[in-house]
Amino acid sequence: MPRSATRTLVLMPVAIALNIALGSTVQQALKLPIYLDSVGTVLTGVLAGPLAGAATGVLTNLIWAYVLPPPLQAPTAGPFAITAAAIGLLAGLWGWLGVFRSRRAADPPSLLFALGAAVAVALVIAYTFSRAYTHPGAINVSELVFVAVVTVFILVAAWLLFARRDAGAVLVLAAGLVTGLVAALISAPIAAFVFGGVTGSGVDLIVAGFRTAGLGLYQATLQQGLLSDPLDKVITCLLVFLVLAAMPRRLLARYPNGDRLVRSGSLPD
Amino acid sequence: MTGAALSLAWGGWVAVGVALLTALAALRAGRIRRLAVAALALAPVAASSLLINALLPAGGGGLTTAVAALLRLLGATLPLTLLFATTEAPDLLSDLEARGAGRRAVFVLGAALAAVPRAQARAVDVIEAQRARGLDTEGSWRRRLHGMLPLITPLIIGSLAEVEDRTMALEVRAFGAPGRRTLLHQPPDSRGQQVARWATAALLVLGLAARAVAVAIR
Repeated sequence: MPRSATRTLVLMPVAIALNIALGSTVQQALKLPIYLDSVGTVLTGVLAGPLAGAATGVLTNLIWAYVLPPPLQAPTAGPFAITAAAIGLLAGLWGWLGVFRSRRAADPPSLLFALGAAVAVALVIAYTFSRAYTHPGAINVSELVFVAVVTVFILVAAWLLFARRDAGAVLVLAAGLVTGLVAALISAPIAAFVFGGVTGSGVDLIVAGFRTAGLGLYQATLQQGLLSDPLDKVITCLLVFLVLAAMPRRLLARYPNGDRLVRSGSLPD
Repeated sequence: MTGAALSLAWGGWVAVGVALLTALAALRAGRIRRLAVAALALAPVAASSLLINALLPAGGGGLTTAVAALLRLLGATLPLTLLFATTEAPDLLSDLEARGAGRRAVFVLGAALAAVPRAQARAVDVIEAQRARGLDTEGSWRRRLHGMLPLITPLIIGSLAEVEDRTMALEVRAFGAPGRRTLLHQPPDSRGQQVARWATAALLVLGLAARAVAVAIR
């Protein structure tokens, strides 16, 4: 058995514990409208591949919902294990593609590539926007917030690309947004079917508001998900990217995906 | 687990039955309090759901849908909670390994369960240390957003460092070497338990098949 496999097996439980600790303790301390419970999943996916990332996500949700004793236990997290698996798979994909590689002071081809990726993601967002927010009548709050998030994304991406020339951060930004979109798309049916659109937190009122405005259950949960998931995943991916960029190369190189994370060449990071 | 799967598939009265059975079993095992706390943890969901569905106009599904969803959730959550409340972790893990789950999977499960309290304690330490250095966790959302990095970064770095230590410890103990391992601890397993297990498995298969047929007919 290759050496790196043991490392993955050790990484997974540590990442699961990280997810739960961040998602409960730190999230309660900061009281921001984000979940923060996917950092370990993304970390494992990027370092050890899609399967390990997906397994980390699934186990995190299952352990959190059914195995841990109260008051830590969160039964509402169980059915969302599917979303967590998708996040882990995507993170593995980004790691394999080398998206999380540090690319400071990039050369023009890299910048162009990053710009292309950002534009592609913007198109995907526009498409999702047109499909998710189909209703006659006036613009509602969630549409405005979604547009605001997308605008911030474009502004930050432009700043990173042209002012800081940091192509890597733009790619991670785009990857985070795509991950958030996918997570929202998968979570909406789960929230609608298993929970009837209600998970016991304050956002239920938002969902109820959408439903009184005439939206179906799935659309209401989707719109609520599109509010918090993209933001949460973008922040998560950026955090993982920042920490990995600061790690010594020999530490990262030992992981299965390590050679895609570490810039090849003789330049010290 | 059969109960949880059947509750999710059928909902309604099956879920109620499963929930009651679970409660009875918990009473017998002396774990009713833990089950009650788990049920209470679902109370915010229940209250929120009932309130919202009661206030909504009729087109949105109404109270019946809400109650149905709640029952499904209850029927799915309680049996699984009871399972882990009554099984000691070492017993469960030894049994999994004896049945061929593989010591690697068993290791991941066991290590994750042990790592969670540790990670929480470390998170509390980091939060308090950063607060002592002037980190603002009560101010405006902008300051709290800035506070994210100093809180999360040490935890991620600490996790990666922990992975290094433990990997070295495991490799020194030939964790990666091939071949079966002999188990030291055998959990008790009576004939009655074996019969009950087979019966439950059959019930699960029948129940899910019946549900599939019912859906197909409709």
